[in-house]
Amino acid sequence: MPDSVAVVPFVILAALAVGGGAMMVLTRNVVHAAFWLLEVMMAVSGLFMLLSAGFLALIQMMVYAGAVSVLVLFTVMLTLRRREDAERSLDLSWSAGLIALGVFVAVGAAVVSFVPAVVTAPALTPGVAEFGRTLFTERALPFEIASVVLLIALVGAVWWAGGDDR
Amino acid sequence: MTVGPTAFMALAGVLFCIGLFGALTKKSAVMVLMSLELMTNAVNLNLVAISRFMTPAS
Repeated sequence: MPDSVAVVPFVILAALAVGGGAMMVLTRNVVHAAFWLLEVMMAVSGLFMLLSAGFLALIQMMVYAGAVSVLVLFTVMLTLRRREDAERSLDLSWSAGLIALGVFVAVGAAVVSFVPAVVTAPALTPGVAEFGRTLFTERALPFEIASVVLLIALVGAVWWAGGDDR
Repeated sequence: MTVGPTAFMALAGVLFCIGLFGALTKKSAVMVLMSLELMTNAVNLNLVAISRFMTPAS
């Protein structure tokens, strides 16, 4: 595979992601923020596709754009009593901005000074078929552990929300 | 014109810091949760970029 990608789709998707993230933080309405988060998720899914990770782009669309944003919207709309409650204060603070800026400077310095040990790009993209075969043969144990963890979380959530008569 | 792994890592850093700012400032729990989702997305993007551009030394 080539060791770089085209700049025009990258710039478009990066602007969509960063602009959507900034709008999510800066908007006052929680429902609007949920929709801005949905836009960021779709832009990140496009970036995954730009990085030749088509399976992850599909999963990102299904899990984040499908399930998580619907979950957030359900949470917001079930917990708000009135429509006006969706408007929150903006909650901007200088100290949090300074902390985020400091982390960004540190991350930027680390990225600029980052020298990978091996810079060559992988020879080929593993497709969905190879991924599934690896997942169900030699990586079967982590897969099963993840499924057991999800089952425990499901049972715990049902028990936790079980009401007073437990 | 092409871009390499550095641009993707910088983008992931920007997204992570936006999410960090939101998670630190917001008082509503749902907004904090959404900011955390943004941060996990930035980390995922970083992982995918590194897996696309670099080969691990075997």
